[in-house]
Amino acid sequence: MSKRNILKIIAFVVGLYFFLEYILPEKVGGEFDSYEVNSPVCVEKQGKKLQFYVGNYYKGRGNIGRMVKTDSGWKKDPKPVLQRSLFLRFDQYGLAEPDCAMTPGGLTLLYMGQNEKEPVLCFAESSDDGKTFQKKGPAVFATNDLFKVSENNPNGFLPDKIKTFAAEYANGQWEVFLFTMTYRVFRAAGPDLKHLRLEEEPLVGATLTEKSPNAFDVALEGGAPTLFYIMDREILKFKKDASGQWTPLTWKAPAGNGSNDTMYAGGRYNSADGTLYLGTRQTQKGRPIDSPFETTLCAVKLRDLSDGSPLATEMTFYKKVGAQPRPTYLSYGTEWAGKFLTVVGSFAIFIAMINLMLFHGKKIYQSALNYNAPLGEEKLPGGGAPMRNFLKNAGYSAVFLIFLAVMIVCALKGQTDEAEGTGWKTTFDFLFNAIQAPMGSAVFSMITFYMISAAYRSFKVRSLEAGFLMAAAIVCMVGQMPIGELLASLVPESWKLLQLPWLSGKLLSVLNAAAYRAVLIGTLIGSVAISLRIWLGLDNSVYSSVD
Amino acid sequence: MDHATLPIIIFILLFSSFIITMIILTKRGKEVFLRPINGLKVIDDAIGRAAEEDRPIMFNLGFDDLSVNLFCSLAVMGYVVRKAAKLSMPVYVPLAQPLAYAMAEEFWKDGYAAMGKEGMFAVEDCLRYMSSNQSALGAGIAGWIKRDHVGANFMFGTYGFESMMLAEAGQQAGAFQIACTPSFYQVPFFMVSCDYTVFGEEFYAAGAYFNRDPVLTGSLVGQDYSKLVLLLLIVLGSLLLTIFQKYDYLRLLLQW
Repeated sequence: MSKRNILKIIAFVVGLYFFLEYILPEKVGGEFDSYEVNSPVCVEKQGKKLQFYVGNYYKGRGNIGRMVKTDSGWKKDPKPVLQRSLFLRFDQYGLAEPDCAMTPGGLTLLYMGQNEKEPVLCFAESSDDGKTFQKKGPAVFATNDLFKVSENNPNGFLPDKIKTFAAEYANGQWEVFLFTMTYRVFRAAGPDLKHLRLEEEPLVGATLTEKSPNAFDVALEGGAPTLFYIMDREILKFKKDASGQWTPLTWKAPAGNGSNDTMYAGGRYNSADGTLYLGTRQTQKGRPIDSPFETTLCAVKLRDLSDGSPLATEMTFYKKVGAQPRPTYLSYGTEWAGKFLTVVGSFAIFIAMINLMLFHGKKIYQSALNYNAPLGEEKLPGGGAPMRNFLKNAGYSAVFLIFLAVMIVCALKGQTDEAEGTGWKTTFDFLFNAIQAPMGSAVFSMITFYMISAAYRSFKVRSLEAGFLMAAAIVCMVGQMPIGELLASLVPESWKLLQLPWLSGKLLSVLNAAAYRAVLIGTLIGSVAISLRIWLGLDNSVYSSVD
Repeated sequence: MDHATLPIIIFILLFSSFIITMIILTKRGKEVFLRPINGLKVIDDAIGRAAEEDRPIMFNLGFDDLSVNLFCSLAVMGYVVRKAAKLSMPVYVPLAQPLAYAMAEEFWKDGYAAMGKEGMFAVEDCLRYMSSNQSALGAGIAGWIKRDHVGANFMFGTYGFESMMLAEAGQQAGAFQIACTPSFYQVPFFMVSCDYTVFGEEFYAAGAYFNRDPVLTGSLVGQDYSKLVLLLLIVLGSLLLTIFQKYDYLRLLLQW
């Protein structure tokens, strides 16, 4: 069998392995919440306690599971009641931070839908105690009566990016509290989740706590909101006092049971039993990536005493991650292949270095020969004039080899833990930060001059196409400059076509994006085709150097 | 890692079946028409012009490491090296990746050996590992082009901002320049500085133009059928979504 055929067989086997690794799961079996459990929310319906929580089979792919309280404790449904959907773009990457409320129609579950863009606050309804849910899409917010949604704003108008939320339903009215990325809380209310009127002023400003809480909830106690913040190992309950100030009651989780746990995700307060349900995570140093978190769901009974007694006294841990899946071992192969490639790549660096040293060494050697040659007897072109010609022919090569040696030595000596503060480390940092980085920036900035000369050539209007190019370039450039905004303000709002920022935006986001996608589709199909040819050993051009 | 979803598996199998079917049909003698691509047709002219002017040829492989793009570029480089070897011309190959260096060396040597010109040029003079740093790579190649007064400059593969430096240096040196890249955002820079620019899927088709191998031509036709299916889906989806936008189930299906 020829060398080429052997290579083709190896390529096919390796390709098949990677293909299977891509289309088959890494693990089989196990329960849907085998990786992580967090964000529990508890509701009571006709004396029946139900609990919903986020269970991850894999990191970042949350499903909603359900538990029912029985005499022997919480009983889990074997399958999730709500899963991420391939069909709905709002929660393609999973569901997070659920909150639940009883409504006349049954149960309504709100959650943050994770997707490739910003998370979207969505909801789903159930009429059978949460055994099955019907997804209803995003909740819609507005500050006026126009509840307008768009592709980029599926939640309608939001004051800021939402970090988390809390929802309550009472007296035929929804109240939703949005906790934003700037730590402010906004309040919205409405008869249904598709029509939530947002108050323009925040309920709470950004100064309530000094740092971002891990979780947040709101309870309506006598119509007035009470805020719950969970920070690492501390629970804070905020209530407004007579002077209108938010005063906190705090409780810090004690050492002992779960002393290494951090309260990290999802804290929902159940007014009926005065308990805060939350997720905790065991601190794990050196935890391997992709191994399941030691997460546990926990209940903290709260008391509302303002006489200096603690807010809570006990934590009850009641739910750990589910049964673990079995690995299919496919991923181990790709991991091994990655390491193999890294090792081969490292050796290839030596080959490349030898090539550089050979080239520059040869130049120095030849120039040195000429350096010693008597005047008038040139051994090589350019020889005969001693130092000047040596520097001209081999000066850069000499600089390269000197810096190569210095950099290698400084990196070997200065990039160790013990080297901190030594001369090696200082020299290495100096060479890297004060020489290499500025030189890189200088070269990058030279592109501007190249661009100017290229633009000068290409923007000469020699044909109709060049004219279009010129016009489009001017529109895009001026449209994105402050003067473009100024000119647009002089044009009536209805004359959009004459507003350069609008026109420039359309050119880039419609025409340019369409062309880009067309090219991208072609490119990707082309790469599929050539990958297939190489994999199946049909393409001989890539094996042309083998035989 | 993320795994393939059902639609992705379906599309991969569908496109693969188109490509393999067309390869089988072309192998059985089905005639196919290949649209001429000027940028690839003139490669011979560029080599010829450089030979007439007695100026060296440079073949850039871009920033690709061990990847499909590198294989595509190497296939064309092999052709260029053989043509240049026939005319006893040197082909300079600056490289950005150590692994690419090791592979390019084999292709380069093989090209000269195939024409019986083995050892005519020293490897270390013609193939040079420059740097994996974009700025250093751009500056190094630009200097090389100008110092050696390159006559034909081929730029194949993936590029970043250094594309402008390479192409402008070639333009200033008066080199005949052909760029062929899948890097969409570098296309304008190549367009304004090069004599011919090939981009998009034509980069992957480059190999098929030099030898009318039925495997390569068949796969090109298979790609076209795949694109046709996608085009129909896009048009149909846009129309349906516009006409029946109130029907949620249709919206869900189209967002699949």
